[in-house]
Amino acid sequence: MKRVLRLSNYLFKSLVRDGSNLFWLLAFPCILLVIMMLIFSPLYEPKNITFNLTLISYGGTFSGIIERVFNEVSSGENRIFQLEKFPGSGENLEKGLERLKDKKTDLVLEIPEDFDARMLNWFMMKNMGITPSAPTINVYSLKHQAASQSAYVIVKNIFQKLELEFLKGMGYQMEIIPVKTEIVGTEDTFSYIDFIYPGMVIFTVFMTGLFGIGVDMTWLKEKGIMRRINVTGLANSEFIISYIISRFYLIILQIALITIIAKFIFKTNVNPFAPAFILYTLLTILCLSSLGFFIAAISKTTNSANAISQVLNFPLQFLGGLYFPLINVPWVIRWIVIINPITYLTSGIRDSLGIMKSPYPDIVTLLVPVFWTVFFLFFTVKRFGKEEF
Amino acid sequence: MSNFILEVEDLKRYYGQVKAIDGVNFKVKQGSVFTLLGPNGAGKTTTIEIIEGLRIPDSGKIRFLGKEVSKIGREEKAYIGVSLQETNLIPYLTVRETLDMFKNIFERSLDADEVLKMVSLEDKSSTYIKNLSGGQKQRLVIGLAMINDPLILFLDEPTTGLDPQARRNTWDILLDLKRNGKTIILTTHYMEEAEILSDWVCIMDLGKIIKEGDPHSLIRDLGKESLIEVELDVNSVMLEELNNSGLDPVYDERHKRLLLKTNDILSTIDLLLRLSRENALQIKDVTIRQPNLEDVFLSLTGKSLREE
Amino acid sequence: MKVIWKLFLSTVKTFYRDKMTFFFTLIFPFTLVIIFGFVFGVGSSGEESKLSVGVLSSDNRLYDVVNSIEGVDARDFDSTESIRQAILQGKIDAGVIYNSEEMRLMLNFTTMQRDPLSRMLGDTITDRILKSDIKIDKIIDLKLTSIDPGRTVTTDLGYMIPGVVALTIFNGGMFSMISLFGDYRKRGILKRFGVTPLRPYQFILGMISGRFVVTISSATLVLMLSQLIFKVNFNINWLLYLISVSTSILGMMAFGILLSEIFTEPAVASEMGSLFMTVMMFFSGIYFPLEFLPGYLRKIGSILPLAYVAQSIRIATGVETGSSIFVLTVSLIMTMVFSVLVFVSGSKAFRSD
Repeated sequence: MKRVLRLSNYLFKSLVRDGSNLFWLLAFPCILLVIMMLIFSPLYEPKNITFNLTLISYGGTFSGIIERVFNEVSSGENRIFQLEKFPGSGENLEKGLERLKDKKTDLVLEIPEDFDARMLNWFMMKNMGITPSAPTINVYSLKHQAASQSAYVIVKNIFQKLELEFLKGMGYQMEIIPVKTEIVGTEDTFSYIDFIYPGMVIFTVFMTGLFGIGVDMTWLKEKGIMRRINVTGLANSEFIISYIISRFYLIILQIALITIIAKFIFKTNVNPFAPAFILYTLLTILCLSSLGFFIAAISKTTNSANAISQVLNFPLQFLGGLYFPLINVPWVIRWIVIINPITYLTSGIRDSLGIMKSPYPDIVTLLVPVFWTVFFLFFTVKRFGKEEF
Repeated sequence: MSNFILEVEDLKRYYGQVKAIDGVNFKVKQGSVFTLLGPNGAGKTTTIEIIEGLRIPDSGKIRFLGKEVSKIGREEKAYIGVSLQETNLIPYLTVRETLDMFKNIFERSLDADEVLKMVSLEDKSSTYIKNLSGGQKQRLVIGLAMINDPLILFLDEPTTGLDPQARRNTWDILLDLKRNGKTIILTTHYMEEAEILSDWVCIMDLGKIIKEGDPHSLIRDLGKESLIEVELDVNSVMLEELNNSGLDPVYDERHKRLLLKTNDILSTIDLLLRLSRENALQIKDVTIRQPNLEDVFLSLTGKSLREE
Repeated sequence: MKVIWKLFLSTVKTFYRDKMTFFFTLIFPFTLVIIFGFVFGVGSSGEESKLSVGVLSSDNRLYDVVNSIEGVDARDFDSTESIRQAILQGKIDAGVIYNSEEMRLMLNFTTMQRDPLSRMLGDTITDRILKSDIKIDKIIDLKLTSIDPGRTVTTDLGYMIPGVVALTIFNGGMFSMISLFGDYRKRGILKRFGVTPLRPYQFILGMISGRFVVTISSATLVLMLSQLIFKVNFNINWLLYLISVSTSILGMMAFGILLSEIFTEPAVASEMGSLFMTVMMFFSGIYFPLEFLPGYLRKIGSILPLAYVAQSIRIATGVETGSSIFVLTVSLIMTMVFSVLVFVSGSKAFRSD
């Protein structure tokens, strides 16, 4: 056992001295985590976002009220809009729409010339007991622009509140109903880092499986290093155990790095020492390492191992729910999601941290990765269990 | 224990229809340098891989240190040192670490410094493998084979691909080991190497040993004193004439080389010149030399040892 | 000329053997189109999918209110628990429970990820409930007009694809130059050519033109295949397309040359290339909107060349309006950067060190 452990030290040393491994297996996952956080966390906690709004108004009592409301939400520190106002005219509308298309503004709001008159008319008719058609305000948004669509949703919301105020003014009893929002399956304290952290743990183990084991082991095989070690009388099983231990060191280092960044830079709420999480992490390590050995078992050359790993890399990564849950996707790709062990590992590991309930039954979440592990190991043992190389 | 450290009897190994080795017999004397000589594909590597324990024979007997074994297993491997035909090592370990890594596998081992000295790599001990030259790497590979202080050293083509200088360095190391009484089993397709290093040579072709003996007697058995190598496009008329003159002509079609054995150089050359003039053939080059193992092989098989 | 042609042919052939470049130029962007197309795409129809919202079957009124909201489909369920399960399994997007004091909105994670503002659905529903109490539908009619930014009406996916083409160009240009300049220099191939009577410009022209043609074909292939699979509407101005694509390839090649100049070890250069690719992919607004990012991050996006290449190609494919002046300016800058860099490193590469 002692020589197995010592051999694993050498294997680990050679692994981390290779700059390419350092980059792909240690640095890259950390960089990716930082990028994901920068890009996606504002999406979930939309704070401090200002949209550009163009308001075109012909003036008047009611138009004035609307202008004042928008002035208010466009000033101060927590303002929602950066407002620009133009006096009403067909020309200014054209100009506003041009600015919209040039992405200089996110939304154009036009209060038409007859708005005040129609508003007045509406209230008068309403008093007489008739419900007339509502006066129109034109909103122009730009397709494919998330900001434009978001700005519209906010403007709509503001108008809803404004209408309620008008109705209150007309003497209606309007108690605003409080809304409690919950994202199903997640803790109340949902934050993106809690969601992405376990995903990155799996990603980093996946990288080691594909490249640190699959490609690397094939290289050892192809270059005859395994044969050279075999002629020393060291059993293949002993060598493989040393190899696994050396990769285990690496994985621990990877997970530690990701955890430190998640915990101390992005302040995740999860407890990385939760026993269920540790167990699921071990299952992940087992499953994805055996995937690596499986790749090494089926490929003859480093080149083909590399090709297999690259082909598996992105589909399994993106269709394993690491970055976004995948439910209700079309069948063209759903089958990949379903057979993908990463799907269940991600669901299980998030469930184990109490971040998000797995959409699959517990037994499925557990058994699919176990099945794959057994399958991969069966082939690996069949290949490397042979006495000849 | 007999004088022989390793004996092999009727060893066979087939790959489907291909008979890689087909009934190989030999005995290796303790403290000798034993060489398997033959062209690529003759079965040298399969033979040596069986006695290194990398392959299992289909049939045959192996006596290792006087004990009969069905294959070379883990116990036996502790007593052998191996340098494989093409050895790559882990690029991001230093020379020293690589030696230590292998040393750690064995129970019985030499000191790494001692081995470094043996293969004169003392000043490279902290260099990464990836930064070694071909010759240095090969020396380290031999050093690795020595690390467990083996009773038998297997060297499968230890100088293939090295430049002449590095080859000579390797030979010096091997000659040193030989002087110290190490048993060495060598495969090579360099005659010169076999001649300089070996005590006993087995010539292999098509999976069989076709001739064995010590290199000098093998050469002496060719009988004739000198060889004349002629480069020309010979025709059958000329070949027959030469045959009739008792010159034992061997013609290597591929390299357009004619080999003649003679005791009388001058008259043979005379004959050659006359015949080439009569047949209107142009002699491009003539070499006169002493016979070597290559000639032994050529006379046995009619083909050249090296596929150039 | 014949020499250049031969070199051209050999570089075209080696493209398929140069696995890294081949993968990142063709396979990778296309995989992304397929995955994102099917995961986030709205399919080929171009219709935005409706939000399905679960409501308790006992609450008829809520069912009607929810159904009256445009873009929302109400579905009834027996119990709160069955709504939660359906949301968890992604069968519906959201669920609402109303008990006259409080409105509970349950959202599916993916739905929220796709549309963060779906959180506001709760407000919209309570607003409707209040108004339906007093039988007033609305006072002000907000009339939304969604303007297509381009000459052609296309889906979100259609708007994204030119960005993927830009990524193809970026990868193809950058990685092929890293492998040509870096790898060839390391293996001494450049020097080997340097001792032949071949002039440096002939060599570089032959090499670059091969990869150039391969990259331009890959980019167009990605465009066409995506169009075929997802039936995206483009209105391609071929002249503008060719100008922007070809100059962008040159510009991205320049980037690759620059990397292989800075990182002389080819492995390191190609790792840096992958790193830049990752950064560009995320921060150029191709796949993910940048509007929600803090200002300093949006500034990063605005200095990345990929953002400009993507915009040029969007303009050329008609999914975004913009002046051809913009496209031509980007093209000119790309060409200039390329010329300078090729001139400098090209002559340097042949010098022996």
